[in-house]
Amino acid sequence: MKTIVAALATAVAVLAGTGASTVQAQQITIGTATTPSIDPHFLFLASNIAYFRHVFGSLTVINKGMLEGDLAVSWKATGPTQWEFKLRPNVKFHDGEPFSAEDVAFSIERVSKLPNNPVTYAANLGSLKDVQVVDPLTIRLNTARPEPLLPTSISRIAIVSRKAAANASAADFNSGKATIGTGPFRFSAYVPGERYELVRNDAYHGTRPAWQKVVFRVITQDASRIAALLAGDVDLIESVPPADAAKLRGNADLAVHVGPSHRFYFLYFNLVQDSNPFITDRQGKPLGKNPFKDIRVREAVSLAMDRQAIVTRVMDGAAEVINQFASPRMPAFNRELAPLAYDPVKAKKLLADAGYPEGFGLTVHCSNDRYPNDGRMCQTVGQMLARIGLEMKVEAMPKAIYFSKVPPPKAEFALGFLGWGDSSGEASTGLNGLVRSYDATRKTGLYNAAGYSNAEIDRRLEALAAESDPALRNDIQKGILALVAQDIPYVPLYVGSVVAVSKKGIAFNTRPDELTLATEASPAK
Amino acid sequence: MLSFLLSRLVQTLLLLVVMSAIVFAGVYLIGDPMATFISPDMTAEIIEKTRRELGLDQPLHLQYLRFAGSALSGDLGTSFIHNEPAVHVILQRLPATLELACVAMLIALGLGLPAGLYAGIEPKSLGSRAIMGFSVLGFSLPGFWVALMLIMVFAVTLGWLPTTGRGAVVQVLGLPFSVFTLDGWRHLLLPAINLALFPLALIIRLTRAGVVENRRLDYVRFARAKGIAPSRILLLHVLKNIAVPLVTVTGLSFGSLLAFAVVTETVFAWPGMGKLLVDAINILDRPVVVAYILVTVLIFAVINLIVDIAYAALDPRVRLGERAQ
Repeated sequence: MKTIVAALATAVAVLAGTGASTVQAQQITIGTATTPSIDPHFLFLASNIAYFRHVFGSLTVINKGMLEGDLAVSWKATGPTQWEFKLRPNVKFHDGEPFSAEDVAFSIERVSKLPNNPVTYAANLGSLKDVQVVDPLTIRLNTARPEPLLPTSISRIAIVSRKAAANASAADFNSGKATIGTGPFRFSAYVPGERYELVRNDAYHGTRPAWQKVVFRVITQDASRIAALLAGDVDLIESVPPADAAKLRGNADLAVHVGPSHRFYFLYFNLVQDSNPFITDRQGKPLGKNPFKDIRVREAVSLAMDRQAIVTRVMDGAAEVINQFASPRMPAFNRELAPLAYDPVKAKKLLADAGYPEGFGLTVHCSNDRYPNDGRMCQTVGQMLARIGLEMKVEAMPKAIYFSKVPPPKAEFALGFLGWGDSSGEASTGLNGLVRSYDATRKTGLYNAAGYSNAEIDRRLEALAAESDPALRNDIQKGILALVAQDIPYVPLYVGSVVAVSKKGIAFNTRPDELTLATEASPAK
Repeated sequence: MLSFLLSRLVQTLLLLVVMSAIVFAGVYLIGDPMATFISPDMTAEIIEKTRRELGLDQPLHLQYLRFAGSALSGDLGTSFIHNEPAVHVILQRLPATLELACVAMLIALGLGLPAGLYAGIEPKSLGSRAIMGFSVLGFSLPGFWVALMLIMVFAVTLGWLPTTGRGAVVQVLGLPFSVFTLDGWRHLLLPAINLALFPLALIIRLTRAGVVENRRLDYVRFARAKGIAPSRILLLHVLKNIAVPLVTVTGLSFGSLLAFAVVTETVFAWPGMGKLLVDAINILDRPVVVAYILVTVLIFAVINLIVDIAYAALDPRVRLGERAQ
């Protein structure tokens, strides 16, 4: 049904195009795809970070790929397991109360203690042990292990007012009582499931935003969001499916904004099991062995992928081909690695060499409601592998079912499609999560869907964890990426794009971390 | 009457227990809520701690007992996404859905009854054929497609009505309603029409069939022979006789409009319970899904009770006490 809706939306998008009215100055209405959590410490999702960035400040912030100070003006490592942050003086909360180190300590403590939180922001605090308030403008964070990425990850912790948020419940945040921050906008109103309204904070310490008022309208359905923009009900919409964006380009009243994302997409093999129900002979009987343990078969799958066609046809240009397990925007992206070839003839030959001249039966698994075009990608991969002689089945399923079967120790699928994004812009979380050996007792490689294991890589990742020099970190990661490229546990496909569409007359910067921020929008000059 | 109400109460309670167990097990089987929130930054310690906190590390039957225990004290769990009690989250959305379903039902009855009566009296006229043709469309066109077409025609192309959302609301008895503002009606109209389509078609066909059937019966011929005005025969005698199936269908349709306005609410971004359910299922917000089903069971139980009482009022032959046995 989803695809039909999307197809309809594009069909009508072309028909329409008269509705969009001129931009109402001073106010921007943004059609968003997700329900916000107004409590900035509840439910650590990129979409929630986007919402809280408007109202709350954080110690650091990432802008244009660079780490900058927000409520902190400087920071340095004062020991192997200690970071010190100097705070910005003369900052006031929306209620006029002064900001101090106590608010930072309170916020960090609240993040770890907030009960009933399925995805906690404490994930950004690493092995934090305790917080030391040195003076009102100095704070020290002590960790159990060296945490070289702490200044980056702490950008995802919102600093709330200790006075307003002490003992506050979700209802207190929803009513605005506890929603007191230092950000560019102040809370105005929240109607659950429908709208979130903000007004400009004129006492904001940073760049003054262009809008006096920001209204977020929650419209989860892609087609409805597009219709709302076409009718002029909203000024800007996020998460536009690439195919729709391609059609909307033809509309003179609209502006399409496309930018690169950190999220990259790839296929994973099952390298662990000796036999898998999704690998059969051509007649559908269990094959009894796992062909993916042979690197020639893995290489054949990679050679069968026509990445250029995926980018231009499936993703309508809103993607970029990659040749490794990282995004080109990451500093650790290894530019010395060769592009990955598309060569179905060679792929067939490799299959024959590996003992499968007739191919074999294989099911590819994907989610169908998580990434742009994930369901279509499933079919595409199926067709491309059928072209080199495999008997393909395609199974796309809702993310709620799919993702519980992907990570080890379950790792049920033989071949699957996955995306991985990292808001910090390092390759290391992906390497630690998916490439490092899975070890249930030592808790490593928790998302290693392939069951890949390479002792040399594990050793280098161990070294990376203790390294704090950015240049050396990049070198280590580049080396690991080269090793992964040799072994092909994953088949890199493309890096995605962030697609937003607005009325003509609004300038908007997309962000690689996929956050939709009103501060990135302004009336076009 | 009292024993009837009592036995209904017991039935409803049993139903609630059975449904809660089925839904709980069903959602459990779908998958692990934690897995849908896969995040690159979550360490193993944090994942384990969260699992423990939410009780997700326990086996199914223990999780259910824990849920049932707190359910007895009125706590159906805390929503994973809204961080508020699940029942509270659902009841918060109830007024929006209630208002939408009521308007849709009024449209369906207000148009469906006259149209069905007319089609029943003049089954061969061009008008009736048009009405019946429309009712076939009402049955067979998929709701989301009609919804999108309504948006495209009336909101995007003509620009008469807004595409999505609820518009201005007025607090009545402490609850937000949009039927009391013009802006509210502008937002309400399209989703209500969309939602009314199916029950409208149903009521048209049911009314027509009833009228056609009753017109041939002796009492109608007798009344006509007595010289009673045709309009009086139709509106008083025939309508009364076809009322029982109509009430049943109206009651059931109203129940499903309330509980499963999912598609309409999602397409029109109407902040009601249906949209809440879709969002909850999508990210396995188990407490909300389970609580939602339980609230739905209650809604249907109450509606069925009202329908049964209405039977007794409409048809003197029906005795409530006997029906219960």
